[in-house]
Amino acid sequence: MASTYPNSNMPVPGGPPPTNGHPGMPPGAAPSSTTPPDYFTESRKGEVNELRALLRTFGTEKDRNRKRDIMKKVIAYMTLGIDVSRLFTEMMLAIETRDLVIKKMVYLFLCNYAETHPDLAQMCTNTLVKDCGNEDPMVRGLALRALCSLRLPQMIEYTSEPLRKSLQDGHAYVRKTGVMGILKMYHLNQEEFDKASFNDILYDMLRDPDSSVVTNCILVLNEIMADSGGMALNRAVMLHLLNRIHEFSEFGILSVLDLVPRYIPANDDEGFQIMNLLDPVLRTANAGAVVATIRAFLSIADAVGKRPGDDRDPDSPTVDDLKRQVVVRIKAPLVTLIASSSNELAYVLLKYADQLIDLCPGIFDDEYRQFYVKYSDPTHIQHSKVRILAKLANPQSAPDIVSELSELVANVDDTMGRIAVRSMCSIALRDSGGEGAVESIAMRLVEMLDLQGIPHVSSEAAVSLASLVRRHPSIASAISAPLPRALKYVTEQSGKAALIFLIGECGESIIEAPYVLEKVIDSYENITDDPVKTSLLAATVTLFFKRPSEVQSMLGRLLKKATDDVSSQDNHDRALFYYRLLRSSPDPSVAKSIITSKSMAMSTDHFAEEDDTELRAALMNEFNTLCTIYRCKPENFIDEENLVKFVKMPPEHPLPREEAAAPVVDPGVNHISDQFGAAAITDALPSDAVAPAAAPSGEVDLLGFGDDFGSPPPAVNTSSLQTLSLKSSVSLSGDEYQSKWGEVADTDAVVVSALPLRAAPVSTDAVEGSLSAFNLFTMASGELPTEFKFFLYCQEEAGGFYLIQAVVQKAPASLSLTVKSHGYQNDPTKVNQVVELIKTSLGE
Amino acid sequence: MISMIMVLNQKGEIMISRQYRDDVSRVAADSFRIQVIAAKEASSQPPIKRIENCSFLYTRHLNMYFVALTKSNVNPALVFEYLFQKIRVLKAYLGEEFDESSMRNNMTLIYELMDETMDFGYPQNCAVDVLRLYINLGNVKPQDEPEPEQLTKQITGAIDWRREGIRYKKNEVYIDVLESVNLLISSTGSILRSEVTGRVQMNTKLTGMPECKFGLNDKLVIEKESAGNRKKPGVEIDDCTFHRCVRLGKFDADRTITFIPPDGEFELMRYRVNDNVNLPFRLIPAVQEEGQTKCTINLKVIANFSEKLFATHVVIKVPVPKNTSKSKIKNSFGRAKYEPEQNAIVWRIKRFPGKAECMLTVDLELVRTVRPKAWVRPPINVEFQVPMFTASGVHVRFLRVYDKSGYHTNRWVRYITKAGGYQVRI
Repeated sequence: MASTYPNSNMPVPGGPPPTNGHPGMPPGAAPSSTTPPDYFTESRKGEVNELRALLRTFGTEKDRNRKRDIMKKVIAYMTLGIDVSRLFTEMMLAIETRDLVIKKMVYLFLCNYAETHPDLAQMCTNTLVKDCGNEDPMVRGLALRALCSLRLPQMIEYTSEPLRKSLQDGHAYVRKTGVMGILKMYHLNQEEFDKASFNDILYDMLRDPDSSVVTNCILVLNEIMADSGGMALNRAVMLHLLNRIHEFSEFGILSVLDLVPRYIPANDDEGFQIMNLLDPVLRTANAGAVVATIRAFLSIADAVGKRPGDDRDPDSPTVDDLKRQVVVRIKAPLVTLIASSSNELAYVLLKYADQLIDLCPGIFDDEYRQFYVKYSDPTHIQHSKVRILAKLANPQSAPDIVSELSELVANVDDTMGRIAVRSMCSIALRDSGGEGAVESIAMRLVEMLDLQGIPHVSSEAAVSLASLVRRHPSIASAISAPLPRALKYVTEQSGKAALIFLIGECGESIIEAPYVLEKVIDSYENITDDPVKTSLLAATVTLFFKRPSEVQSMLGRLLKKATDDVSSQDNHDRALFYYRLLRSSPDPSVAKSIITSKSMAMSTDHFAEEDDTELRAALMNEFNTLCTIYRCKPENFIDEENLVKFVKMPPEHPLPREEAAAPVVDPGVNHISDQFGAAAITDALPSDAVAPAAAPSGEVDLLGFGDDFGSPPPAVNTSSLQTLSLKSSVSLSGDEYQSKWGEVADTDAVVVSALPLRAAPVSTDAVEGSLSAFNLFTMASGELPTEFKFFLYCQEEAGGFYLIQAVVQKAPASLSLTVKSHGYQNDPTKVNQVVELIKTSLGE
Repeated sequence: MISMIMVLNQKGEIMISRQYRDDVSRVAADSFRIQVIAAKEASSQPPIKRIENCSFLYTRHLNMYFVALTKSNVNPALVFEYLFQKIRVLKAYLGEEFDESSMRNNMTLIYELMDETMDFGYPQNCAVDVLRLYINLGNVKPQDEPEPEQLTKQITGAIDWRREGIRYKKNEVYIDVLESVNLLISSTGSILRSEVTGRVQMNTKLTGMPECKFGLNDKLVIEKESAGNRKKPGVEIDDCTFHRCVRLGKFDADRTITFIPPDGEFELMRYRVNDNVNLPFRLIPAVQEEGQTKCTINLKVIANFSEKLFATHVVIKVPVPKNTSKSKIKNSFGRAKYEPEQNAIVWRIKRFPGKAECMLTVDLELVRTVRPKAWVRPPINVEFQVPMFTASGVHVRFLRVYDKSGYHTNRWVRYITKAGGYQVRI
């Protein structure tokens, strides 16, 4: 066998020695001709003819290396985009060779020009078909790949036989090439393809012993059945693939992972088992696999979690709880990947992190330092980090984050400066910075107004202040002083408009307000920007009601000017509206109540135009795709023929929601289940596959907390938690904690002592992490030689606090609790629920 | 799936292109050139660009662009992983620093690799060790030719990272623990961020299919083993990822790292440590701006590691205002000079002994500017390498190699700590 194998690249004895004529070319890489050829000189007229002459000598040329060189020249021309299709006939003569390298080059040439020279290409099909029966599997595979890549619809009749044969080939290399060939045929001629009915064979081949064949089968089926959402899934197929997931290659594993989000687990246990099985994938270095796993987890959480109002088992945890736990689990791997990856991957991963933070706010908060900007980061990464940073602010971290952001304001990159200002503003708007944060941010913004050297920052600061005043009207008087001054040097129109608006709003505390506005009104003709005019109108009218005597005459002038100005329909109409409103009623208080009504003060933390809940939900469905990067839905940037519908399968599994009513699935699916039934795949996952992660008692390890715990927390037992709902963010300072603790008499506390635990936790951090997933927060914790101590708190939606002192004995592992409820009477059932919750999160 | 892979040079000319699908054409290269390569701030553009409905995902090697084109909604992380893997494969074949001319001279080889690693837009086998079994041009020396039978098994087998029948006279393993320290200190001297990201690189020259067990001084493992007598506290590793040869189930169960290694060089694991970082250098800067024309910068640098060690390639960049006209520099050792193109005083010290202290004093004269603009004060940036030192305190406890034949293995361990982003604000 070895002697017939043609792929030996050892220099032929007697051939010319390799020359290393090219600088920078590694030894051994040199083409072995006597003169180092330069393939990329300007193409002169007649060069193609020269090549033709060379090719004609090809048959008589004995030296293999020289033959290869001729071929290389042809391919080089092709790469440059020079049309060498005239050489087709000559090239085809060279196809009969035992040199694999030459063969591959001819195949490449063939595939490139077959479409434009179908007649000539047809001539060489015989050789290709013959090669498909070659004794060397390598040759068989190569020939098959070339044959399928010709893109000649009329060739289908020649293709389908070798293709069918290849699927039963003894060598996986040929089989996997054949499977891909089926897809190529599908794209070439769907009618012929349907006749050949390859679908069933492909489903059969999902059981192929070789994982790369299976990978290709999945990919091909997904594409062929894109109209019905991709490969048909049922329980047997899914479990079979998941059980084998460790055999798949680095990229192959992704094909299986991408199926999971579409699969509906038969029951909750199965969902958790799949999570356990996939948990180790989070430790691989392949970022693609990690994000695919995250998506799979989130989708399982979606399927098995309980939703408000559905009649599922009340024991099961809710969707949101589960999603939070998923995000807690994947936080560390994601952060590691961001920190250690190349810039390109970091960019992509930051987008994903951003999306996850929106999904479950609060969980990434303690990692905020990871999102500090490095001076050496490329700008697009810096921008992503700063946007994320603002979302991580909580009362503890806000001072750090705000001072970090203000460092970036004066950045050389203008956009960066703007984003930094806006991010600070958004912390204040969302009120996530705790007490005093709004005021301190407002003060920083006021300082920025005076940064005359950096015009874009002062303008951006003005815009931010305008938003802030709408959200927190109380700060108006504190920021008013520098406004008239700033109006003189803010040059950007958006900043000007914001300042004029602010001057109107803060009219009471700025003595010179009317005179400042008067100046602007008098130069009304010079204003080119519509928003500036609009805000000037609004500000003047607002100010009129605050200081009527001073403003009356200028308001008249302004309304005259504005109604005469026809450059903007909107402004003109507004001016008319104000004018008629003021004239209509003899009692100005009516107009006043309309214009100065306080309903404009915002009660929510975002502006209506920034509400993107719907978009976010749509994006979560397409989590690990380009959608996240572009922040738009797939139909906005993907051509219709490439759109893949997202269909959850299989139909026989119950769906938690009515919206995903049984999807239409190709009838071809049903019989697969029979085949798989025969294939002796056990319904449950084989124990060895689950064993490493499963808890000793056979309970389900929910999210691989097994890493951190001696024993993992099982599926949350929330049976008794129907009435207890805890706030997901509570701010409580140490002093408040102490005073609240002191207010409740020790006799009123509920004491639970020495509950046995299966195993003691490893560290305080591990416990705190899982407690916070249940909205139980840690005030302080510590490790003593024999025990862990925790001071915990949580707040009910209704407002009452529970303060808990927990002591975990290391050996024998046991838990003692002292629970004090603050704010209302002791409700023993609720206290019991809190106790249950703690036990659950400790893994009991 | 990917429709086309192109390699472009700095001018935007196609060097190599392989079309896997019909839905894009070479003309796309033109729009990429105009919108990305020719764009003014090429380096600051995000690595994913959408032009009409075609997405371009790209990365660079030296001055070449490796671009993947797609019209479908792909998993971008997967595409980048593929492009990186592609570059790794090319490095193995053409040398670490392969450039345009070596690409062009080995075009056919590259086409072969393009065809083997991807079929119809889906990544296929990308493991260098397996590829080199049947594509052996370029730097890769042909090995003993395996039987075709065995060969195709290798291309698709379960352990695709190592082939059977490897033989060495001397069995050796080289382990490199490479750490990079990220540090950010505010102008008031408080640490805003300190973190170590580490990598364990291995080069194995082992016979057969050996089973390896590898141990670091991981806190969790050490505490378990020496319950009670805690002599050396281990290092708390925040998170780690592994090469795919490592049995992850086993690691999750009892934190042991076991694997059958690929032959030759590979990255075994990456890790991250946040707490108790030993910062190799302490910097104490003081900046005084006197009026608009004078500025004084004092900088004290202290090496915090043992006197038995020394740092090499220390480069400290102290930023100065753009309008600097004259500089007077005094420094205790190394060489420092003003480099106007970097707007910085660059201080180079070839060998910095442990526990040493050195000083730099710079007096600057500034030119008056028409519109005084405040100096934004970029941070001081430090680069260094400290051999045989790990900032996280991680060290290799053992590497055991088990093979049927029971041969003896020589092990060599090396540690290097480098600066990642080591910055001090002033």
